[in-house]
Amino acid sequence: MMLRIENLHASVGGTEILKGIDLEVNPGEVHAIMGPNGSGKSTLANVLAGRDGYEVTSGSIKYQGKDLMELPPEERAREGIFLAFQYPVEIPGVSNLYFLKAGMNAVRRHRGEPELDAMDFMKLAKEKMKLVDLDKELAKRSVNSGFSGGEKKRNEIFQMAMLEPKLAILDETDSGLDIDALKVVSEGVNALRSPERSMVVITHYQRLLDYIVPDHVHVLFQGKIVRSGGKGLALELEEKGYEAIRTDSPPAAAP
Amino acid sequence: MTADFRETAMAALASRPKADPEWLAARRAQAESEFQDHGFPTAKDEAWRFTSVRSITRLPFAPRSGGTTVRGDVPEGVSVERLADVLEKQPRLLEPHLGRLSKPEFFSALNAAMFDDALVVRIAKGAVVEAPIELGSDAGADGSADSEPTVVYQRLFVLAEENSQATIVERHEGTSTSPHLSNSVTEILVGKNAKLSHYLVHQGWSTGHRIAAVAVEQARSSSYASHVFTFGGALSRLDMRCVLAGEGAECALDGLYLARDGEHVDHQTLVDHASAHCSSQQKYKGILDGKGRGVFDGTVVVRRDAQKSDAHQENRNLLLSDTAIVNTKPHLEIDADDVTCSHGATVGQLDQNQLFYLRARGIDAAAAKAVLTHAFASELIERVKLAPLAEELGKLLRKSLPAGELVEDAL
Repeated sequence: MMLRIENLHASVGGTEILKGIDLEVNPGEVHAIMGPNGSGKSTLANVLAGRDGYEVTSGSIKYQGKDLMELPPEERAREGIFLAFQYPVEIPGVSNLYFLKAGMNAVRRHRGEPELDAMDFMKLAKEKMKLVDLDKELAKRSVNSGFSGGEKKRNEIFQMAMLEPKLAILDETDSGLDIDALKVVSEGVNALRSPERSMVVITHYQRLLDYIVPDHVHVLFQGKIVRSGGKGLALELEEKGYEAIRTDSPPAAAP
Repeated sequence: MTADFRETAMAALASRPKADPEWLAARRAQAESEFQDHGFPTAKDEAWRFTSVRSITRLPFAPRSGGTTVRGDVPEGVSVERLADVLEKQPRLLEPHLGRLSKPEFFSALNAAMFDDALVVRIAKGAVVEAPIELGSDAGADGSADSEPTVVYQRLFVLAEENSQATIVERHEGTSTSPHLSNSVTEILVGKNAKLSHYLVHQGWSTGHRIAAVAVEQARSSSYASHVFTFGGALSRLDMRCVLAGEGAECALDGLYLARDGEHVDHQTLVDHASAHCSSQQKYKGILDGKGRGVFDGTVVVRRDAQKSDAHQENRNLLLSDTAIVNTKPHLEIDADDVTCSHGATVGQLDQNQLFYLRARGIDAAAAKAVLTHAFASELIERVKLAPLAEELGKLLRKSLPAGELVEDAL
């Protein structure tokens, strides 16, 4: 089991946002989590990545059998969890490649692998930049500084390709992308699908799932998963809307 | 009871050799009487409200030699001489300027009365000098841990003649574990259409105090760029005063300061737009850690006739601990009506979103903090036009920052 979330409750600033989530993700699976604004999608992503201010009040998260809640964000990253940010952060004065090399080598040290020297790192970076058609000059600039929305998202997937995570969480990677950029980003993500790598794809719109086809789809509503199904569920949502899915939802099983 | 600095200063004033030309002797006498009347500043003096000089005045600093000297070769088109030699050859050359640009007040009055080893830098008319003029001092050299507190009076006069272009690099430090003080006054005259870049690097020691004043006067269409780097010190104070006296003159004042536990750094700037069509830019950034304390007081004056002035001032401070303090006071005094002026000051902490982003890629919290702190400061190092100096400053910055070695490791 890659990820097992049981009865997860989480609060932000004292307000409960996640109200009992259960989710199981096996290696190689792609799970889509869909939901309207405010349903708790980004909270789930941030809880998994270990962001400060997201308090888990009950339940558990097991990642490869380990209790995830005990690990600070950098340890989670080193253990193979990757969050593609909904809003990638601009960091003026820190070179994009320098920062990525520092991160990669921290991950490699953790895995007991030798650190990459500058030459090997650049060779690998050039290869992975092609995957998402990221401009070489852009990669050398300060982290996300002055990048367009699409360039920021491509930079996220470029980083994912470099870090080779076991579990990737894509938080609204489609937001702010035009159709061409969406295709490029999706192709990059699809190229990274593998039997050892799991993905949790969080999105508001079904459109992304035309390109990144999930194995399972879950509907998150008011902090709970109210429906789960195959890829067809996304299409049903697109047709009927979240409101209908919610009212259609079967009553929760008695405990 | 042991003597304090006022006592040792008075004794030194009484016994100093008097061999100056008449005009200089008169100025020294005036400065001496100014010091006798007013002594050292207190919290009641507006410009010293946030900086107590008690750590200096309570110690019996005795004068020693250790003025600013030339390091390396003097480039062609430049002369660097001791004041005594200049006075011997041309006794009245500096009469119109020396002691006029810097107002004798408190420490600078004491400096004016006491300085001995003044250095005079002249950049010849029309000379375009590529290589930097390198100057430096060590206010605490040779001192051992148990030696008496010592003070050096440093005096520098720079005359950049018409149409000249040059760069001055000054490095000051005090490598002694016994208390030491440098009291420094620099006067700079930038002639018509001349361009001068001035780097002032001060590496402070926990036992080192430095009170420095730089007074610049700029003639028509001249340009002066100052880059100040202050890395700590028990007390490091710099008064930077720039008078845009001729039309179309421009100045750019940059500063980066760092105060760690037990350190106090204070930068005061005054840009005086005395003529029309002048522009000034100020960018000062500070990093305060531990119980470090920083002060920034920046004033821009635009006089009534200084129409079409363009003045911008920015001060940003980064607090790395809950116990660090910064006092920032930017202000504008504008008497002209057709001007473009802006100013702003910020005090903040490291950005939590940026920290999380770095950590989410595997970089540990301490290294992420060091990287972001370094990035905040590096903007001012990137503005250094001499590549070897920029590299040296980068290293000095990483050595001085908390956990700076983590940045070094990652580079």
